[in-house]
Amino acid sequence: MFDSFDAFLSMGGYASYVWPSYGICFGLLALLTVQSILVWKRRQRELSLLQGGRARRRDKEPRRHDKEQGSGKSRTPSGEEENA
Amino acid sequence: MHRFANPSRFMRVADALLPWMIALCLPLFAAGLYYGLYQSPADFQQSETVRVMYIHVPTAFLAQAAYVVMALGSASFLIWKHPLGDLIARSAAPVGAVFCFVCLVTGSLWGKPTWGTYWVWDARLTSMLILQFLFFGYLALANAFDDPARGDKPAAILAVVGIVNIPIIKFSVYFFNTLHQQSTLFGDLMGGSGDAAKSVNQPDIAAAAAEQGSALAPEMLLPLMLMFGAFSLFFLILLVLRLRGEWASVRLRALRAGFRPAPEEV
Amino acid sequence: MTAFLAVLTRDLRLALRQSADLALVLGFFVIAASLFPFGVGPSPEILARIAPGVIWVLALLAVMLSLDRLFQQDLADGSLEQLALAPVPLSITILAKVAAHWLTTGLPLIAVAPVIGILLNLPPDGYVTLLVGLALGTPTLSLIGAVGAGLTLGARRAGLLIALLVLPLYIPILIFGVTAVDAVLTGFDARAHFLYLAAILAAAIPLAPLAAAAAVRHGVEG
Repeated sequence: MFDSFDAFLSMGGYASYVWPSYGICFGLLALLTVQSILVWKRRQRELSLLQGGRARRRDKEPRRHDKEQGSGKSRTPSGEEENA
Repeated sequence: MHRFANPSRFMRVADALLPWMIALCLPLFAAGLYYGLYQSPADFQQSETVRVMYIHVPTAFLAQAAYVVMALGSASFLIWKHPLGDLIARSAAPVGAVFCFVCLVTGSLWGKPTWGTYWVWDARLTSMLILQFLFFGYLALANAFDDPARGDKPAAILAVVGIVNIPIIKFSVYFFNTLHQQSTLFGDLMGGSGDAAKSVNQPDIAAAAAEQGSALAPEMLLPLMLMFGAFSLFFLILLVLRLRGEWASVRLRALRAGFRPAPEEV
Repeated sequence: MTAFLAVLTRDLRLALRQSADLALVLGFFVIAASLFPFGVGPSPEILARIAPGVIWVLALLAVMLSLDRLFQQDLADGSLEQLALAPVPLSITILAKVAAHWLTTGLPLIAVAPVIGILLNLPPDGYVTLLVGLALGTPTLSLIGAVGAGLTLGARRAGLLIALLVLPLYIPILIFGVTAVDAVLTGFDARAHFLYLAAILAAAIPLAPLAAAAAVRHGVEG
């Protein structure tokens, strides 16, 4: 309970200990959250690229052996698109 | 129990729970921050610095909980070969490492005004530091192999070896502290004798009592409990988010392995 | 038992043929210790105060630096795979290898430790405690080290990784070993410290080879 907003900010003279604590805590946790989401999104994108490649090939090529071969080849270009 | 060891079934449940956890976590954080930073009184002795406690204590608890989760996941991976156990351990490790780091940093920022120093080789601080090293070791080992899947078993063994060692490490660190008398400042924290407590000046006892949460005023207990709930939920949310990433990379590896053309086809 | 002795004598013979390795570890131990007077100043009181800690920390590091010898060469020439496939339980084989490692690292360190004690002005009362502590502690260092060495088989930058994995686990040994000497020097009994060291050793003898065997088996397959 503080008298004014300034008093709240100054934390009874301990602002340089209290605020950095909260800042570091939530800053790091936010960074970790963002990083976790980014990793997940990137993997998900790669995954859908790979699975998409296979699904397209499956429509065109009915025979199993050809399908496997075809998708094996389609992997490389899609991987390159990903990088570009 | 083994029903949920199937990662895709587990992920479906976790994904369904995730929005609820977020919906519960955010108001808890808001309430916890409001009560912790504004609505709760300053400590009689530590003044406003006591507000660091509302993040320090929950993160300390969660860092240790994360190690236990990691070790249990690893053990279930080693015993039943549940792939989910490995995924959970891999997901919990970075989260635990960050919580542990936050705990150490906020602890030393709290220690400077209350104890007069950023760091002492007090038993608890030391064992938290060692826990941080164990997290780093796990993360380094799990990612030290060119084939990421190759690191799963060594990392799991390390997590289990670590949890077997933690009681020994804790005990030895407390032992170290009671013998090396230079840190009698916190003698009462270590369950030391009354003699040790005599050399402690009064604010430190208050700090110790506040940290132990024993003699905590209800106005302080409320924000602490709110923050405990909020951080625990946040830990679970992070765990699910990281699990998604780990699970996606496992499927990715499986797909790529399946796509590799057999030698005769090349 | 015959298999245990066979592995033990084989490893001992190999280690003695490459006695330069052994000399390197001991050389590191002595040279690193002689750096401390330059670091903290030649004052005898300060040196006497830090001597037990310095000797223990350096023993720890020396054991750690020699850990790659435990499995790395056997992995490279394929004999580790043979040992893993042998009908003898792998944990027994590993226990024999650890014993050989201790005989060629821990034991020489114990023999050299009094020399460093003299260099660092360790008070005379401390020697026996230091040596008993080292005798009880260094086998545990080799045992825990075997787990670390097994886990890092095939890893990138294995040498650095071992340090990161093993050093935190060495802390209890270091604490009991150093506080034993400190206790004797301040007029207390070191019995409790020795019992703790012995208890940790007793727990490590069956458990560490099991963990190391699991790690080595995975390392050989991978």
